[in-house]
Amino acid sequence: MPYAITLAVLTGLAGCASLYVSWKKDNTIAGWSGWLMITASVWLWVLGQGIEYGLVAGLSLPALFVWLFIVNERKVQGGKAPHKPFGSWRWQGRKVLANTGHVLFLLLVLMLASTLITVALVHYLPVSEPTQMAAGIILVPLLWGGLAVWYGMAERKRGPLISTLVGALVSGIVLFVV
Amino acid sequence: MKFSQDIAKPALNAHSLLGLVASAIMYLICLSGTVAVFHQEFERWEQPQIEETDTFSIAQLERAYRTFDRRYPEPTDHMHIVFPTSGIPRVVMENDHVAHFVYADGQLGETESSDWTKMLVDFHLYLHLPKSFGMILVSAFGALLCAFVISGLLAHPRIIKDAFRFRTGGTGLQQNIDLHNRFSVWATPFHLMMGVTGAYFGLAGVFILVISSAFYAGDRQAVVDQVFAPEPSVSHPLKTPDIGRAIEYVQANDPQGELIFLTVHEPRTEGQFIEIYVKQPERLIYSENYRFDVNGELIERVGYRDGALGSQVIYSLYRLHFGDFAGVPSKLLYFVLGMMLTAISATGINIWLAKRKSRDLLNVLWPALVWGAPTGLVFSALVGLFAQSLAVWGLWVSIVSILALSCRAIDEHLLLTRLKKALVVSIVLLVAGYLVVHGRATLSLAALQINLPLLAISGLIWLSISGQKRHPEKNKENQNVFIANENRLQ
Repeated sequence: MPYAITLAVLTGLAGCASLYVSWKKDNTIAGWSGWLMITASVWLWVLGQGIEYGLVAGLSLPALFVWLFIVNERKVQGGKAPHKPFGSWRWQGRKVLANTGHVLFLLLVLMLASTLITVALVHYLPVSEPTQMAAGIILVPLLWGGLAVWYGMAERKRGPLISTLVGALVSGIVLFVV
Repeated sequence: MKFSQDIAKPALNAHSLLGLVASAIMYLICLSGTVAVFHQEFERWEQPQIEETDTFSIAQLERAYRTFDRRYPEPTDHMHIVFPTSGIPRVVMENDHVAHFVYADGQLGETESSDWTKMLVDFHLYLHLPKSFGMILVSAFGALLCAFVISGLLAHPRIIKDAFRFRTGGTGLQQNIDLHNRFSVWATPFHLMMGVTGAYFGLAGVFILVISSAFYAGDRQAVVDQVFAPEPSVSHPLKTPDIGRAIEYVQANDPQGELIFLTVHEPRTEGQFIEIYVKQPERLIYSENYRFDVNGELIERVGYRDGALGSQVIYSLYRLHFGDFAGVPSKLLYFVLGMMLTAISATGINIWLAKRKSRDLLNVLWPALVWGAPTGLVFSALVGLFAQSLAVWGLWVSIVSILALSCRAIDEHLLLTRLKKALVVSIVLLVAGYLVVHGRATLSLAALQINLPLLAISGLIWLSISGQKRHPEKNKENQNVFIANENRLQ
């Protein structure tokens, strides 16, 4: 389709404009129209550039288009900043220890746990091995990210910590023992 | 269940915790990755005097191969020919140790030397740490990026109410919040793409280790062979491989494809074979591969473009991550979105610093890192003009020096202005040094397409500094935040 790209760009712009109008005037119809037009623009990108390029372009470009409208909402503020005292660093051993623990959990423990859990999960998917691996490669960072958020959100870190370790242990047993 | 109390507040705590753990390294990874989108352009920029062309002839390549083979008889696992349709309009003949540009008549030209670009890419891939460890660490930040996206969305109860909000000026806190939120929310699909694909490169090794240990008795190659076609086992009497015949086959049977490079595996052995990598139109897979024996007879088309779905997905992750799939348009898109992601990393800590009740050394170290890192990159390029092998030292010495010098700052606003000026001056010095070193070649496309945007960026930064000077009343209000407490001076 020769004009697909041009139409895709225009539809995407129109969709973002419609979302802006919806936001400005609290208009639900404009909101739905906006999302429909953005969806249509993704479809047009796919028509013009194939599904792979089309999806990347269609899903990424609205992040740029919206700035045409965001800058229109620019409000320059005045106001005086509060004066803040300048403090010096104090060594806080407990906090350093706690933060080191957080880093080790978020970077090391979660890496191993999410890999073990993911490999155990995808192994049972009814698809070919390459597809299992592809699914796993996509799932690992998402699971890792989800577990990291759960850990960060928890007031008491014990719950997510123990659950993660148990999940990893069970997965390890499934993979290496059973 | 009140969203803000039960979900948004804990999510914001999680987001903040992650930010404090990850922001500095995340910023360096995002900045280096964004700049590295144009790694091919930087390679050309490092050697602007090389004649460029989109075309080649088989006779040219065959002559280059024979000449190179005679000149470098030492053992090598691979010989490569890089085609001018690879993204760099130059023909290159190389083995695992040395690379030469090739003239139109097939004679070997200058050696290829792009140490600064290699340093830039290594900075992104490994943060210049030991490679095995560095790549895993960088990939871990891909997973943390996914965590940032999830927690950030959950922590944003006003996501729709604030969708187009943009406040500037004032204390800067609201400006940072609005930039942070607008950049991050609207580009969520891109950020998830970067997080998932970025995690792959380092974590693939861990993934393979677990799978091989669980199902293949530790045989990692067996796991790799499930996704990437194993090398064929061939045996032929020794002779110079018939690369011309192989190229002709590909040109006839894959006319829409763009030749990237040709590899002779295990050259000068009985097991040598030819493999040609061909970019596929409108596809994210890195290439379709054609394998030939030493006589140029087709062994197999590997089948990445229509093989197992999983192989296609995994083989697409490189182009999807680096934006190297639709030429300049996709690179520009990735550059802009990458700069937004870099700004998100910077503004996140800006917000945390502004919300604190007090100030300390972090208030100067953070802007020093944010502006020092790009200055370090520019300075390393300047050093690299005169001593290529010292470029990596130029980068880290300048970043560390800027951080160290900034510790003495007592006025953050003044520090910020000075850091921006340092970046502008570095860029101007780089372009001036480039002119001295490369002379007339500075007017080549390879040089101009980097130098002109660099000068434009320095001009924009200079304008922003001048803009602040033209509104001293506004700045004086803001400076109240940054003037050092008397206690510090005592």
